[in-house]
Amino acid sequence: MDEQELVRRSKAGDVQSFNYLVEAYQSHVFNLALRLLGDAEGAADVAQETFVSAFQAIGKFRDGSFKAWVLRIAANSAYDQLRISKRRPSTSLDALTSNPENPVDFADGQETPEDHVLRQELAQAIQLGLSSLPFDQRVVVVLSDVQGYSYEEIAEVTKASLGTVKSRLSRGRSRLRDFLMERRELLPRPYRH
Amino acid sequence: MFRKSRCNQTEDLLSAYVDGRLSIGEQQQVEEHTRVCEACTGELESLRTTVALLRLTPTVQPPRSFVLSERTVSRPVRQSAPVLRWSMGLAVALLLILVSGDVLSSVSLGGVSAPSTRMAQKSAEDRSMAPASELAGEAQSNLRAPSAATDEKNRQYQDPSVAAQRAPLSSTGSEENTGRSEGFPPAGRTDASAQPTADALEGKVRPLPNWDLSALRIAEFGLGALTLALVLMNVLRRRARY
Repeated sequence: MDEQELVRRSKAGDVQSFNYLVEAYQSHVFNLALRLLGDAEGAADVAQETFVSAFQAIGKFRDGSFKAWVLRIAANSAYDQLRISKRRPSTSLDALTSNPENPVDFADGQETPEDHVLRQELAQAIQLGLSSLPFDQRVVVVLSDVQGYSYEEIAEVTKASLGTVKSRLSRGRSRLRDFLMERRELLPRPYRH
Repeated sequence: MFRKSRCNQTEDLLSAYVDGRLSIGEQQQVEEHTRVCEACTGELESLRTTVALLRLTPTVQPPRSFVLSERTVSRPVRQSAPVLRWSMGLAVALLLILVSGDVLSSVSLGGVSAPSTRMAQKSAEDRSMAPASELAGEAQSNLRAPSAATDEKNRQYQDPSVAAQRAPLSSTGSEENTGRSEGFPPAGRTDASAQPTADALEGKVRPLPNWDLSALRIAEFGLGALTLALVLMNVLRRRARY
């Protein structure tokens, strides 16, 4: 069954059809929320709320990409979550790094304990850097550089023009670069120049 | 100066250059400039490093599935905006009820409402220029106590509570502004507002004390301010939403 048919059935109230869409996009939604919030638990809440909201509002969905639409809902939910709970990524990251099985870590097979610590610190520095960006720049940087979306897809998610996407991405990357260059000692050796 | 502006122009293009999203002309501009400018070459390299680090960030497996059950779907979603909208609507409705009640009560009690104060003044001036006999005749036909009309009215106009009742929406009393009406009412007022005032003097309608009107004004202003605040919150929330 193609996506349009699933959307059509979902509009008729078929939860099972909608759940196929959930399974297809839940990883995208969760990862976007995770990088926007820096908090795995909050990201899971946002993902759940996103799909409930999407199902309840699917009658308003017209043409275009369902993925872009649901990612936009997720970004809005994450924004609301940040505003309401005033979550600070620093506290969340402390919790993340204290948990050895936390999925936010950069997993990479065999490594020395020293590399493991450095890797965690790098992950923390990147997440802190992302969290230091204004929300509109953060969304664009995460969608582009973490999730690998094209400028056109990002424009569809954010409902912004291509020029705005380029500009937000440029400013976000510059800020993040300055943030990371101030913590150069955390970068992997090939990147410490 | 020229060199600085070239660097600024190039810096603006570096991010799209890394993504290969520049026109051929812009791409050549960046490449020519970075060949001769060490600072911009450094900027380009650090930008590439940043993007490479971000791309190292792995995709994380969600901790659980987010598929919906019938029970989940039937549960109401947390939404604060509708609450705000309903509060605003309620405040507006209350304000309208209060203001219209105020206006209606001022009309029914025979007061001259603020918007009509100027008209009343004009009417009073007109009457003061009318022949006395004609006005006296009208007064006799309209007022129930024609013999004491002038004296009663003089008392009525000098009595602050009655004055407040006559112009409940005016700020400090219309008499101060008219001059002519203070202590010297136009003889034989024939407009509709005169009749209830006479009733009030006969004890049929008890005039409102000043403090009642002040409390009403305070309530109106308070509710007005609340309504304005809710409208602003609604607008800001809409604009703030990403």
